[in-house]
Amino acid sequence: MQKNINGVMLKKMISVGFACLDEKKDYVDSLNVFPVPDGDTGINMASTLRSVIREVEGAPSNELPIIAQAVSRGGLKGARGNSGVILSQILKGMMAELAKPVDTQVVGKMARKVANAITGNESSGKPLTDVTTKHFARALDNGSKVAYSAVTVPKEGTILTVIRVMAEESKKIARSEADFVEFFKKLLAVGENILAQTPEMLPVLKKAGVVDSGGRGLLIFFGGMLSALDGTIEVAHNFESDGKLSTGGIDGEGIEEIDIEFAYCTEFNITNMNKKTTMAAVDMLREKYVRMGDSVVCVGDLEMLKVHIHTNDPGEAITAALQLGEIINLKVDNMLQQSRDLFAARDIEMKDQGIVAVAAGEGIVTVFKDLGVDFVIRGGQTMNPSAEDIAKACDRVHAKTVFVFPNNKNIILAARHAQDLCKKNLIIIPTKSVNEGIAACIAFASEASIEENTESFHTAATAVKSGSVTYAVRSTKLDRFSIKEGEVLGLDSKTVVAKGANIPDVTTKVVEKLVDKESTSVMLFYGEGIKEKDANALHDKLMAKYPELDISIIDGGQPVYYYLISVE
Amino acid sequence: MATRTTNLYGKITVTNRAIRAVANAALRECYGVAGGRVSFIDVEENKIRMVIRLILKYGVTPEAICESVRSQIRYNVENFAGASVVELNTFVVGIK
Repeated sequence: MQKNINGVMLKKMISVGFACLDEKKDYVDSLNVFPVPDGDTGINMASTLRSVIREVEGAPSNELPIIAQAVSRGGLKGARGNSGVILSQILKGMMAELAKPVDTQVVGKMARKVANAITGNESSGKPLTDVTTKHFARALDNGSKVAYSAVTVPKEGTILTVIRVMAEESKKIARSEADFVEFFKKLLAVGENILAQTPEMLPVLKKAGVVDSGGRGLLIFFGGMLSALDGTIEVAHNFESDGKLSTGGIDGEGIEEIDIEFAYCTEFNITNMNKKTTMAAVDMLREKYVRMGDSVVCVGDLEMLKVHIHTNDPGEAITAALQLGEIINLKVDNMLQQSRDLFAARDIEMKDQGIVAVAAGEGIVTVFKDLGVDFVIRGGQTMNPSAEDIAKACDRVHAKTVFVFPNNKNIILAARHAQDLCKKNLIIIPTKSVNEGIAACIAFASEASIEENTESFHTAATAVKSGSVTYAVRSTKLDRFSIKEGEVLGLDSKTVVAKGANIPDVTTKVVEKLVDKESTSVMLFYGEGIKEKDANALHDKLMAKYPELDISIIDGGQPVYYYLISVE
Repeated sequence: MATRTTNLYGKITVTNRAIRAVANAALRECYGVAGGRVSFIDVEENKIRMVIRLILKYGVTPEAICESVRSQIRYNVENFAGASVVELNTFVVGIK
C-alpha cells in the first residue's frame, strides 16, 4: 500500500504523466474546439509539461520541496497556449501546498529555505518529505484556487471545472482513503464523470459533440500519475464517449516513393447558400483553405461557389463549406492511391515501342490515339511544349523505346533536347506537320523492329504532301504575295500558295497545288470555327472536281488552322 | 471606417465600434487577464488591425497569455465581423 509519496515518487509521477499526455496529444488536439478551435490543446499541454520535466531533471536534489519548486518553475517557464498556462497554474498551486513546512519531519537546510521561498512564509517549521492523501487533496484544492484566481470571468465546462470538482471531491475521498493508488482511482473516476458533463455546461462543446480537450488532457496526465503509483505504465483509456471531431490526416506510411504533400483532391460546389452567408465569409473560407492545403480554388458568387483543394483532411474542408450552404457534386480522390496505381501499372509490362505525338484539337488528338499513339501532348503552332513536357510524356509511356512526333518544325528542337532529359530511348521523327505525323503513324507496325519502323516513318512522312489554310495575323509581304491582316492564306509545307477572302476557295486552290498525277488520296481536317455543314459542302465540291481521288474529311478541331490538308 | 460585405438580404456594415466591443468582451474572458481594452483599431478594405493594452494577473507567463489573447480575440472578431484580423499587437501595461 502506497501511503506516502516523496520527492522521488513525485518526480516519477510527473514524468509518467507527461509521457502519457505526450503520447495522446494528437488525440487531445482533435477534441479542441474552445476557446479557439485551433487543435493545439494537447501539444500545448505536453510542451508545458516537457519544460516541467526539464526543470525537474535539473533539480539539485530529490527532496520534495526542491522537486516541487522545480515543477512550479518549469511550468511557469514553459507555459504555452491557454490550456498550458492553466495547467502550469494548477501545478504551481499544488506544489506550493506540497512544499509547505510541517513540524514533524526532518530534512536539510536547503529544502527548508526553498519551501519558505515558495510559500512566502518565514516559518520555523520544517518542510515535509512525505505527503499523504490528505495533503495531496489540499494541494489539489490549492491548485484549483490558483488556477481560478488568474481569470476574471471563469468559463465552466473547461479544464477549470474538472480540476475544481476533482479538488472538492478529493478532500472527501482522502478522509477514507489513505492508499494513494485507491485515492487516485477514485479521483480519476470523479474526473471522468465531470468531464462527461462538460458538453452540458459549454454549448460549443455540445454542438461539436466532444468533451473539453483541456479536461481530457488533465485526466490523461493524472492517469499517468496513477500508472507511476501502481506500476502499470500503460494506461488504458476508453475515449469512446468523448466524441470525435476529425479523423486526422494521413500517416507517413507508404508514401516514401511518392512526393505528394496533400493527398486528397477534393472538389465540390456550394449552392443554396444560407441566407446570412456573406461574401466576406467566402473570403474567409478561401483563406482557411489556403492554410489547409494547396491548389486552392474557391470562386463564384452567393448563388454558386466552386471549390477545389488538395488537402490531407477533406472532412475539414467539407465541414467548413457546410457553414455556408449546401454541397453538391462532391468528389474526393486519393491522389496517393492514384499515384501508386500508376507506379504499379508501370511495373506490369513494358512494351518494346511506344509513340508520343504533339497535336492540338480534339479531333486530331483522337485520330492519333486511334492510330495507336500512347500519349498525345497538347500543343502545336501557338503553344510549343517544352523539352521537359516531352520528356515527362515519354516517361509516362510504358515502353522501352519511344518514337516522338513533334509535328511542327518549331518543336523538333525541343524534342531533341528531351532525349537528354528522358531515361528512355527516344527516337525523334522530325515530322513538320500534323499531316506528316498522321501519315507516319499509319505506317507503324508494332511487330516490326525499331530500325524498320524508323525507316518506314521517314518514308511515310516524306511521301505525304501537307498543306494548310489559316489567316494572316498582320499585313506583310510573303512569297510574292502581299497579304493584308485577316486575309485567308493557303500554304503548302513551306510557302504561301494561295490567298483570298473566302476559306473554301483558298482551300480548293491549295488542294489544286498539292495534287499531281501520282496522288491517290486527300485528307482534310477542319478546325475550330468551321461548321460541319461548310466542311461537307467543300468535301462535295472536291469530290466532284477530283472523282478519281479518295477524299475524306475529318473534324480535327485544331486551333489556328481552318484546314489541314494531306495529299498522298 | 467599418467592414462591409453583402449577403442575399443586402449590405452589412460592421462599425469599428462594434468590433471593438466584441474584442473587449473576448478579452474579459481570456485566462490570465485582469483587465484591459482595445486601444486602437483600424479597418481598411475589410482588413482589421488592432492594438490591445492589457493588465495581467500576477504569476502568469506574459508571453503565453499574450499569444492566447491574440488567438482568442482574433477568432471572436473574425467570427463576428466576417473579416480578417491581419494585425493584432498586445501591450502589457500592468500586473494585478
